[in-house]
Amino acid sequence: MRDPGNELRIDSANAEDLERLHPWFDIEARTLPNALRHGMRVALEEAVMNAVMHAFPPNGSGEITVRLRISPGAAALFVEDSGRAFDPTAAPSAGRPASLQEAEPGGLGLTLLRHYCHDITYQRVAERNRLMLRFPLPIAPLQPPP
Amino acid sequence: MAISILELDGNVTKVVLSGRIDIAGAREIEMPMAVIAGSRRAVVVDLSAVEFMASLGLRGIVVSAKSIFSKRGKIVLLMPQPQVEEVITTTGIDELIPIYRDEAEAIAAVIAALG
Repeated sequence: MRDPGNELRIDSANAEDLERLHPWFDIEARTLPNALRHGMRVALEEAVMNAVMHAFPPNGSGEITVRLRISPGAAALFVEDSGRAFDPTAAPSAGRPASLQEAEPGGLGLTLLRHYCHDITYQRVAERNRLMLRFPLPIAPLQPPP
Repeated sequence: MAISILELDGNVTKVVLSGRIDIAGAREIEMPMAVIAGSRRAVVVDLSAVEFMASLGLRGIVVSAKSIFSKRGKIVLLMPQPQVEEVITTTGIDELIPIYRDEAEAIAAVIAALG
């Protein structure tokens, strides 16, 4: 097992907490290839903002936790929240908006989440939504000497 | 993230965005974009120095575009980097807010809308 990395805890109603997401990813994903990092960053933001929008009632809040696990063949982002059940993998695809009026940010976000993730797994565990976003690594990252 | 606003000849407004339009960046552009959308009808958004944008940042542009279109104005996007362009084309927003690679063409397109 490699270094499990640092978990980020976000209060969904706290704007400053949400803004820590990208700086957290900068540090946690620093060893990953640039090209992979971009798609992961898009998917991460979409998954977290999806939880902010769907998991909690308006004016309510809850906890979102984010983790990155890097293993030899893949990187995985785990996004968990304590809100009501919402399975983004089961939500209908928004498709391409025919007009700006139809272009809803939630729908665009799911489109991007699906585009950039190799696969997405949703589980409802202990009253929490748990999303795992997987991204294959082109080559295994360098092993530190034993 | 930085935003600068240039007034060009022909009542064209050029908005130059740069850096990362992430969660923090999207919040920073929200108010200036709303002010531009409320007061201008011919807008070119220069994305050439933007390194990152996801749906939250795109939303800021879409909201502005709705307002500008409702006044029979036009807004176009200029020279996004490939990674940002992929985000825009994946969502299909480029079919509603066109992307230009040439600044003169982008300016001509928004001036044409002023009639």
